[in-house]
Amino acid sequence: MAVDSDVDLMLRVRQGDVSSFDELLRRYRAPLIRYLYRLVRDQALAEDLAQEAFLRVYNARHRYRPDARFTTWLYRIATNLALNAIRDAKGRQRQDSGNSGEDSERSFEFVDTRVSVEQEMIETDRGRMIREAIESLPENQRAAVILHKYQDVDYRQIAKVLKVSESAVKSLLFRAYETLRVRLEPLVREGLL
Amino acid sequence: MKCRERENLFLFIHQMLGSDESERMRQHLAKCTECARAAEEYRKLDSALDHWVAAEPSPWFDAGVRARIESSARKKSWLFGFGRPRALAAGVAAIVVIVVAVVVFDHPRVAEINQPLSSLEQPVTITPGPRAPTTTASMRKPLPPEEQLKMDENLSVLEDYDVVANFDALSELPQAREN
Ligand SMILES: [Zn+2]
Repeated sequence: MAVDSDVDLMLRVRQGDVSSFDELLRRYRAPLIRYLYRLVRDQALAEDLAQEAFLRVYNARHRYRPDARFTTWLYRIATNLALNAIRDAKGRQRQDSGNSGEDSERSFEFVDTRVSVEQEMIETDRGRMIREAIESLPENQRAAVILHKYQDVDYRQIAKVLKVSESAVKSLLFRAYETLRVRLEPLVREGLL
Repeated sequence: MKCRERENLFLFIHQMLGSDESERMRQHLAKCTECARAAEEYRKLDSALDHWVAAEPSPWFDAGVRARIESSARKKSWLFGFGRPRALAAGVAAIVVIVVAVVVFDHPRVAEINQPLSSLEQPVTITPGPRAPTTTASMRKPLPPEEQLKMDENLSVLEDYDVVANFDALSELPQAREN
C-alpha cells in the first residue's frame, strides 16, 4: 500500500481534511521537537515553538503550494521561530544585567574551551560536550549542522530552509564541522565513542 | 600544514561534490596521508555527534496543537465576522470619533489656559481688530449659546463613541450605509 506523500496530505488539509493534518503531525512532531530542542536547548520552549509551527502550517493551508517540499516549509517556519526566540532571550538576558544565569551569554559566545573541554570530559557526559560545542557556533552554522547531522536534511534543502545559496550552505557546513572537529578533538581522538 | 583540498575532502565525505570532483578527490585521498587522516577524523566526529540525544515529544503535545488551532480559529471567526470593508469603515469611524473627542475635551482646556493668557495679552494688544476682541470674549465667557450648541452636538458624537466601542453596534454601522 502506497504511503501518502506529505504534499498529498497537505493538499487534503487545504481542502479541509483534518485527519490528514493529524497524519502530518504524527509524522513530524518528533523530528521537529528534536530539531527545536537542539536549537533552543529547552524542552518546554521546543514544544511551544513546535506547536506554534504546526499552527502556522495549519493556518496557512489555503496558501500552501506544492512547489516546495513540505518539510522545507516546516523547517523554515520552525527555524525562524527558534532564532527569534533565541534573540528575544538574548535581549532579555542583556536587560536583566548582573544576574549571570548559566545560560545564554555563555552558550552563545563560547569562550576558548580547550582546557575546560578536557576537564569536563572526565566529569560530564559526551552529550553535554557536543551540545556546548554546537551551541558555540554562529546561528546559521548551528542551524545548518543540526539540519544536516540530526535531521538528515540534505544541503540543497538546507539552502531553501535557510534561504541561502547551496554553495553558502557547503561553506557553512564546512566551517561548522571544522570548528566541531577542533573543539571535540579530545573526544574524537581518545576514542571515547 | 593544511592541505588545500581540505574543504573538498569534507564535501567529498558528506557527498556534496559532483561526480567529476568526487573522482578527483578519491585519487587525491589515495596519495595524501594528511587528507586520509582528516577523512578518518571527520568520520569519527560524525559518529561522536550521535551522542547528543534530544528531547522527545511529551504526551500532551498533539492536544496542545489542537488547542492552539481551536483558539486561533475562534479569534479568526470573531475578527472576520466583520469583514474587511466593515473593519475599514469602523476604523474611519473610530478616527473621526477620536478627533472629535480630542476637540471637545481640549476646547474647555484651551479656554482655561487662554483665560489668564488673554488677560495678560489684553494690555499688549495694539491692534484692536474686529476679530481679536470677539475671540477672547467668547473664550472668557463660560457658556455662550453657540458654544453650548457645539458642545451638545459633540456630546452626541461622544455618546456614539460608546456605541462604536461596542462591536455589535459597530457591525450595524456600515450595514446601514450599504442600504
Ligand atoms: Zn590532501
